[in-house]
Amino acid sequence: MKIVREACSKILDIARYLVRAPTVSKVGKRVGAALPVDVLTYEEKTLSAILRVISSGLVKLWSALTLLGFYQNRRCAFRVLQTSPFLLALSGNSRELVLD
Amino acid sequence: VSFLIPECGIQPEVLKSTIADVGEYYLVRNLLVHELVTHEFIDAFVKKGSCYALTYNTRIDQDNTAALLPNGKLILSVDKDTYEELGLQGRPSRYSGKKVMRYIITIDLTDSGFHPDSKKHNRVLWALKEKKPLEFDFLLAWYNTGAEGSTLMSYFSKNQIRALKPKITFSTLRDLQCPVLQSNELQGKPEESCSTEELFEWLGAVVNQVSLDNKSSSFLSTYCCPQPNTIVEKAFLCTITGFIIPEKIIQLLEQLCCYFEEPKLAHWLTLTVHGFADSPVSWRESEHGFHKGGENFYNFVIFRNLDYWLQMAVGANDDCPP
Repeated sequence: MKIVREACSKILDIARYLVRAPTVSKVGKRVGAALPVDVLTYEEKTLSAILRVISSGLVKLWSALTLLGFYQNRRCAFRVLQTSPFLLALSGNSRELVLD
Repeated sequence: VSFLIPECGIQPEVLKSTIADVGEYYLVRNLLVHELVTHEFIDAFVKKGSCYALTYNTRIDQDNTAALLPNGKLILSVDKDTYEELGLQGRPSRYSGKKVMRYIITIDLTDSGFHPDSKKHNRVLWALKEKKPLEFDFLLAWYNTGAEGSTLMSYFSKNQIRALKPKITFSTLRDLQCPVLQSNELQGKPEESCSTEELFEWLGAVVNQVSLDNKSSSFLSTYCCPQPNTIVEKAFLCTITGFIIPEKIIQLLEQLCCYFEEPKLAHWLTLTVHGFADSPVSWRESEHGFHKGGENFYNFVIFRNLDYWLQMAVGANDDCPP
């Protein structure tokens, strides 16, 4: 499970794309490996979402998100903020504590 | 720290004073670590109550980190170069792999052998003051056991010290699906109650505002509330964010138990406490690391009859909780 920040495009469409699209294993090569991914939440204001995936699929999903640079001809970038096997752990991220 | 009370719409009376008095903590910028090792500081704060300190904005897997525990132990988690430059005795980190890149130095400030003019004290002071001065922004808190004397604010007045209050947010959740629980059925009973794991995940979903319906038309999420569940009209969720000391959490826990002294509709409530992801220690001074995540938190589920479940969770680079 992760929180992911998105630079553009609606996550709903992205989710459809991720679920159905094959994951990119090496640059230029596509490997057919669809992975069931749940989009648990999406917040338009912060452009962040929580995704859920089976633990053996974490690396594939993370690499797919990292390598996803374009969507519908628009540039985009995903940044993984936090990952945890526990959903409850995602409610508190001390690395985001800003005191100024 | 957050707590969830089903069947409750507003802040309960028993908790009002505890939440209002959750205390304050301090942020001190550019504090040299050797100032925590001087006997003026040790006598004024470490020996008189519980003093807590943690470096702010440092990452346990990348940067040097320091923490002061209430039992008087100063923990320094440093990279290899800093360790070699400091010249203090420590041990390799358990999570640094074959090639040791991180070391942990523990200094017991209340040790009888650490009095002023002792070799130990002089060596530590020399290392931290002259050999390799370490400077961090620190989060500080102090639980005063009633002794008279200076406060952290006055002691560090020449540094950039700021008093901060934890941020408190309240929300009332409407028409929430809550799992049915039985305190003596940890694994849950089919058709009767949910298991501890199901509750744990459900609580994460609620706190992160995940939708609990699994409509067949929605292919986005397959998560749904565990069965059996009931729909509660309202639930009160309070979140307190900051550098909160265990003494305050214990007070909060006691008051949450007092919530059930009067008859209430709720069968249970929960209290969740998250540790800092970049703290060098978790439970009982065991080393805490950050692998893919730095989670170290615990969750109390308190039942009406004052039975409780305690769930503790850690990340990959951690010891099992006690």
